[in-house]
Amino acid sequence: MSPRRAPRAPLATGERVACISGIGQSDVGRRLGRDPLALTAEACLAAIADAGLTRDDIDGISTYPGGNSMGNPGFTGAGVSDVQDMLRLELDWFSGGPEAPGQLGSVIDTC
Amino acid sequence: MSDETPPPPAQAPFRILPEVTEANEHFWRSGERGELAMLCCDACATWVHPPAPVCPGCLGMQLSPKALSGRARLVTFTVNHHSWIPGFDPPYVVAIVELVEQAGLRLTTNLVGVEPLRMQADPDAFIGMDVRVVFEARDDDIYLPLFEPVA
Repeated sequence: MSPRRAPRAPLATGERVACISGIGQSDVGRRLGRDPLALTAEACLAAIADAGLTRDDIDGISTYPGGNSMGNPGFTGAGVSDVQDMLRLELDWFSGGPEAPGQLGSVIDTC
Repeated sequence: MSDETPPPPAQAPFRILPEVTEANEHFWRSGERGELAMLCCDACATWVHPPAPVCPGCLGMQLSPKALSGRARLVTFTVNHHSWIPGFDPPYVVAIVELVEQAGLRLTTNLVGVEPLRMQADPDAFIGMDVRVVFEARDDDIYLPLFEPVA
């Protein structure tokens, strides 16, 4: 069965030009006795180092579900502003759950 | 009677006390030694407050509580007249002070030993003045760092 129409040319959207350039993971375990924000910092700094970047290269943060997790404490750790403030990042864009309401977050980021 | 916590001094107002955690204990309890303590980076000696797991200067993760001089400068203030909390009676001065140890190392606090209405009448005469820490001892071994003018 032949396709009903020719395949479309790839869209020049972000997902076509994005790549994962570094990853980082914190200690994982129950009752580590460590501040959750310290675990976030450990993972972020490991990812930045893994990518061969420095803090000054970071221009955006994307997270899910995001800070405060819509009123469900314990469901998530640090949100966008927690990480931005902790690492003193200068951001051009961000997206998260409560931080950027749904599709509007993408619109705001392009403005 | 010995197992009862002694009441705070009669002149001390009612206050909603902070939740003491492992991360901030050094700050709320250091007043017991008459010192104001904050986290300081082991690697680059940057002061970090409020407590955070990472040094914003060098991104080092080894931070230790250290004593400050307790001397500061009044950056700005406002005089509160509304009775927000029963027992914590206005007028009182809510102030931001900057510790002498580091530019930008600031604390939101109350000024004591001042006349709030006089300060409100002529704020420019007070902004920039030298202040020093005094502690108000409360229940649960909490020592609230307040500031007073250097005589």
